[in-house]
Amino acid sequence: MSSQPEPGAAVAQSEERRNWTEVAFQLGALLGLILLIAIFAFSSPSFLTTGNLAGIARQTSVNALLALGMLVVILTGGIDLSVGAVLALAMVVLAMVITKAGLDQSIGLLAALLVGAALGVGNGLLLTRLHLPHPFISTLGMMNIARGAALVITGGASISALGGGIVKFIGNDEIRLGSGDGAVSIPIMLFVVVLAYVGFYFFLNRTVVGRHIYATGGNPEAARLSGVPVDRILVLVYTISGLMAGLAAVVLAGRTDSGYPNAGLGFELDAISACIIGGTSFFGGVGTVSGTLIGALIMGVLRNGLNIMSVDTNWQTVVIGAVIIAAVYVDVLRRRAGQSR
Amino acid sequence: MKSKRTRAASVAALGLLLAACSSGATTAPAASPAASAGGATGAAACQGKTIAVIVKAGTSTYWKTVGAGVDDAKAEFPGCTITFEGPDAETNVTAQIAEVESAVAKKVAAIVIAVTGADQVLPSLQKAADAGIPIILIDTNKEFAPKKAFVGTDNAAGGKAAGDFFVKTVGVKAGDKVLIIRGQAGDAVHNLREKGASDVLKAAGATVIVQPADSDRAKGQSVMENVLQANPDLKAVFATNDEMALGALKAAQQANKTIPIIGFDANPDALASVAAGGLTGSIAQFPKKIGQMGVETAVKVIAGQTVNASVNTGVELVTKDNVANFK
Amino acid sequence: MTTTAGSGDVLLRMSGITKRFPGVVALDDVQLEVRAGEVLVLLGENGAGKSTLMKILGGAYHADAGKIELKGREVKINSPRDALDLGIAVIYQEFNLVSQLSVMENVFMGREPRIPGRPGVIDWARMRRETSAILRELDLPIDPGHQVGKLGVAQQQMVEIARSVSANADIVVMDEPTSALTNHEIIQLFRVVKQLQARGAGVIYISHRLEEVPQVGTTVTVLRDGHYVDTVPASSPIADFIRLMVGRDLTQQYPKKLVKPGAEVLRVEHLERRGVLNDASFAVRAGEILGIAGLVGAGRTELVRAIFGADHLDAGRIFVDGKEVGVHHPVDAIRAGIGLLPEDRKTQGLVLLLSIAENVSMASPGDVSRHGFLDLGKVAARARGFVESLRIRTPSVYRPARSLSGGTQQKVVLAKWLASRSRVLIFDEPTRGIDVGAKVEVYQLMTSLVQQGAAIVMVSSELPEVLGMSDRVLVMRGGSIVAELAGDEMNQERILAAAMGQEHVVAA
Repeated sequence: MSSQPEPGAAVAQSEERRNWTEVAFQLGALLGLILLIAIFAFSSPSFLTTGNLAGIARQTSVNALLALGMLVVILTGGIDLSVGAVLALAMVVLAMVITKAGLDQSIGLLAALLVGAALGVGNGLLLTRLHLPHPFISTLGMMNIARGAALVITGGASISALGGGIVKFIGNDEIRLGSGDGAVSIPIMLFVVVLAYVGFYFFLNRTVVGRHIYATGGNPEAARLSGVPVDRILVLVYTISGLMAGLAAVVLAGRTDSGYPNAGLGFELDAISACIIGGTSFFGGVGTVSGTLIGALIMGVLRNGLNIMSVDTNWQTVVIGAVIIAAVYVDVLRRRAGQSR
Repeated sequence: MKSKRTRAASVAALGLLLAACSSGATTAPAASPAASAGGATGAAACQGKTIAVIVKAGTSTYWKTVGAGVDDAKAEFPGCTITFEGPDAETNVTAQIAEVESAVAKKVAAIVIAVTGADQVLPSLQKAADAGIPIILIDTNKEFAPKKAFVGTDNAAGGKAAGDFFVKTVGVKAGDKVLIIRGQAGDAVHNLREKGASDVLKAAGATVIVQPADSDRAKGQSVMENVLQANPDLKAVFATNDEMALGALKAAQQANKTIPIIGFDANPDALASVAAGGLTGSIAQFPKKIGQMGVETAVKVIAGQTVNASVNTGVELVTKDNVANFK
Repeated sequence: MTTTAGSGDVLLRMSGITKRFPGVVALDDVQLEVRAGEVLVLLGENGAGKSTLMKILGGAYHADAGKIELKGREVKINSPRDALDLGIAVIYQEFNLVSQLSVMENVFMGREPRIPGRPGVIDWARMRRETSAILRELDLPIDPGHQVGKLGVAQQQMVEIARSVSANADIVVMDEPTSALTNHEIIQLFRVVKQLQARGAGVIYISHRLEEVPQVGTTVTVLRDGHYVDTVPASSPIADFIRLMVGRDLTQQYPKKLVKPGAEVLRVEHLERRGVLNDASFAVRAGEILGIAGLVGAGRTELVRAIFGADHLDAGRIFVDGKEVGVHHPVDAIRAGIGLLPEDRKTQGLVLLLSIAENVSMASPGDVSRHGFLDLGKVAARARGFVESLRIRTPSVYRPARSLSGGTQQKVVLAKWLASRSRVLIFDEPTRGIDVGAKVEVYQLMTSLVQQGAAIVMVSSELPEVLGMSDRVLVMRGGSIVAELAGDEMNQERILAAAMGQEHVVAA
């Protein structure tokens, strides 16, 4: 018999549509986010201003994009440690295409996406063809290769002043609504992020491939025996993760007007944190797009609020760690509550 | 760059795995015809002996500049063998320990070292000292009793130079708000730079806000955006490295604000920005001198001469006025 | 309670045990009594409450009401640790062993003998000595220093039993101990159970294999739908047990109907897989159920997995409807109309986290999608159709497959293959771990499938099932098909003899 409570005589309630635990799940992380916002809003009058909210959007975008890529990887039970380094390589390639080769920013953008996707394919093939024991290893190797390559091609130096074009438009420009003091500026990159999240929602929930990703993570053997091309799905998810790192590189290059080889140090941990805070399971098969967005926002709001309140440098490190643990623990409690039904 | 330390703990730990196997060591023969007259006495003292120079990362730009200074010293002392090596990354502490151990095994006459990491390398340096090898610390000072001298940038003096500029030239006065964006919490070099600046600013009565941005450009930009939200009346900004300064500049420009910003390191990107009227300035240090004077000090120690316990290689504030000299 | 055959004093008495989960009453006023030297067999269908009751006894769950008395004294069991301290050892189906450690370390886990006067230092010599003594007493040829992970399933079970002996357990609970054992191993297990009995311990034994009951048990307690039904001697007729468990007579356990076989649907020729399969060839026709019998390890599962493309083949040809198909991956087999209902539904048949609806559509997403986009309405509608036609008991097709009982899960796997219009259905152990009532339903479904023209290949270790359902039987031994039996030849003796390589003895 299974370890679940036995269904017994009858499972009384009839519930159509998605089961409610899933909803309660995300509500929990959302409550955490709301609580965090309430604390900061109460502590500082400059927190809940349109200007600062736009700032949070700008600061969260890169992690939000990386976390989406990370989500599809973790859904298959994998991990992608290379996203920060892939971002750096894509970013310096973009910068060099624009400044050294003197090409249009659109070519730089394509180059960044291409670099990201290519390294992602590499990660996928290392895993499925070379049969490296765990993506931890293959993507760790790729992390070092990409970071090293970024240092080699730039000689360790940053590249600034990328000029105007599509990259600047995406990463830097804003749409102004209204006029005078009531004007609100919405960063263009926010539209990119929203588009990506809506797209991923449909991809993961409504497409055959999206559901195959969940199936592969939930039970790779059962998926394979049901005709799911498991290896191809794995290559695909790492490619998506690499592609998102490339897209994040475009946003960051536009935002900082530069490409630098030390970009994205530790970003993989932020992306993983966003997924886990949002209720994604390390074991695969469980995780949602909306949860990941909430996870990324919790990270972004936290860093922003600590700056605004001018919290002491050393304590910021402690607080960030504590909030991550608390967020995941709340999730554990919720899950436990959901199990005993 | 020296202040660009790898942040994420995991990255550091994982890096060890791979990097431990491959530390880039470059050894150059001593023969150099163009001997300078400056080290005539020392040249005799270290004739036929080996001085090991060990830095934090053999391949990065900053340390290559230090290496160029070591090359100058080689020309001064043609009779000595001077080796120059360092791990592949500043985080690779174990590789540096291995380099110290092999220097001891080779019975070198002196070790000139920029100690990486926290204090993990010190025990092996202690063993070297016990074996009678003189130790000269360069770049990064440490509490280490057997050291013969420290040769390097006075980071606190650099911070002070930026603070002085804000008080005297920008006119920061009592009640003004100044932001200091610093590198990773706990990092000794950034501590000194931050303290040098904040002491001067506080003495002038300014309110000093300190926030961390991990020496990263994008994070410097985010921190600046956020602090500007709560403090739109910022009078000046000092960043403890250039990358964060350039990020802060971007944020200020985005917010349509003109705020004096000074960085640290005087890297090419920052100097270009200074010349173009972006950054107000950057604190230059002289890595080449660190390499050269480090070896010179070692030679003096070998020759039995007395040396200063602390040799300052100097700092200088680069602004639009003197930036041409630094290109 | 009615008469109990146990001779000794009452060791354990559970009474009035009630346990509710949200929306479900798992146990309602259940009672149980175990005497020293008695083997109490706990019977009931899946969902009857056996495991819940044992988890309460083992301290994993807390009862909402009820009393537990040990040797006449009421006790509170709040944790697995409490249960152990009280002398109750529960051996779950998933063993609680650390496979990297040695046998003796597992036996003494948490109670390692220390060297007196030297805190924290393990007395290895004593640990080995005492483990050896216990293993000898149980007549088990296992080296105390052997790594547990390298032992077979049966021996790991013996290690669990040895642990309960070393802990001086008065009550030993075994949850379906024979489900993964070979016949030979089962005999060994029964011998060890007798040893426990002789030591004066009380054994609670959960099983689905009714034929084991008279061999191992002394008394039988039956639960149904969370209620206590009755306690009867283990020597009662098996039909009585079934009646008590399902609450009605199962007159037609094997609803076999003869179907006139149609055209040949599947033919395999000279299948080879090094060390696993030798020159296996057979054919099956529409309307036919082909049984494959043999001992565990004879290559039956390997044969059907290879046909399905789940494992690699070194040589051989596969024909569907007379046309050769190259099967390199399950996708190829599925496209050719073959479906595999694997032995282990939980790890191979279903993605337990996903809903019933998604599992049903997993092998044929093309029918419910356009340009790669799923039509969720169609996915649900198709699943609802199967829920109705296969009588899958669930309140909703959005329920995760994990929430279903074994028999219901098997129906969902079947629905997946019916949805992909498979015409060759390969059942590997179709009723393993499925309760009696649901078994009959599976048989009825198989019968109606062949009536509709499907061809079924059925691998089974249960001879009555093979004999009751098959039209023909292949017997495998050592990776080869050693006999094909039909009609009068298809009987228990012939199959067993062929499976064990003793065909000539019977023939003589």
